[in-house]
Amino acid sequence: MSRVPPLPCGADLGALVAQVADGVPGDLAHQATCPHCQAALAQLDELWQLVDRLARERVEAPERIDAVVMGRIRRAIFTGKAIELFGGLLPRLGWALLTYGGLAERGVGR
Amino acid sequence: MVAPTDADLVSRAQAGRLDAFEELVRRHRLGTFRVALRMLGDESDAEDATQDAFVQAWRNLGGFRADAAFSTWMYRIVTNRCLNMLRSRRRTEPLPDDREAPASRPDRIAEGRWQLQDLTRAIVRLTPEQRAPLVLRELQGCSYEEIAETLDLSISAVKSRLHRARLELLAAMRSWA
Repeated sequence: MSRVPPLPCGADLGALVAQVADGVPGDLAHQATCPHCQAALAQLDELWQLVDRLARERVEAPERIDAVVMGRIRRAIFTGKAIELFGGLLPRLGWALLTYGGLAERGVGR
Repeated sequence: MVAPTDADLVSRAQAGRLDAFEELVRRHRLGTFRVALRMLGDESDAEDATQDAFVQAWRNLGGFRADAAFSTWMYRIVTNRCLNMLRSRRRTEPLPDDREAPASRPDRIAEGRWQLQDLTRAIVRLTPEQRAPLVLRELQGCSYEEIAETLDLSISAVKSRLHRARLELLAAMRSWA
């Protein structure tokens, strides 16, 4: 899965990432004496402390989102009902006008 | 009085009760906005994406499965909305952060906020496909199963993308040193 070259000691950097990020057990006996693994783990620890801080960073979501969302939904409902109401009437009105026009042309009702 | 569960509110909203949906928006506004903010790296865009996601959720409420968590469903909708925004942004404009040089390392050590800003910048530079699982896993605390459901991917695909994203972050961090 990892496309990065292994550390000079042969350890897989991807495995060290999984060890720090997911708690996957690592080769602790090797790491205890390996300067390459220790340096990489120190960097990863620093990075993950930062990731944790970002995850815990307070974020404020603007409260106006609620009103904007509900306003958009209410408008969509109103528009949908208007189309439902008048959309059904328009073809009938058009047909009535055409019929009236045809009758008038033929002089019916004069 | 016991507050209604999300499932109760969804059920009422599906029956057309706008007040129930408004309560769902209020409850899930922050989580949805957080995902959008981490995905897009910009508060204004995140606000737009959050609004669009809730409107889309209302439109598709009939298709919401009662056995799913509403929060996971919202993550799915807002993540897809963000991915669409990122794809259109990628076609039209460069990332503004690309022009910004990272702060020097002594400055970052002296001022903790700079470190977070560097990390945020590095996350924004990930590909959208890598960024989504990273945001959901590392910043929202989602399980692999939830991410797979949210992104419509297999768990192994999630793990693979997340792995690459983590290595990219490490490489970015090493480039600061």
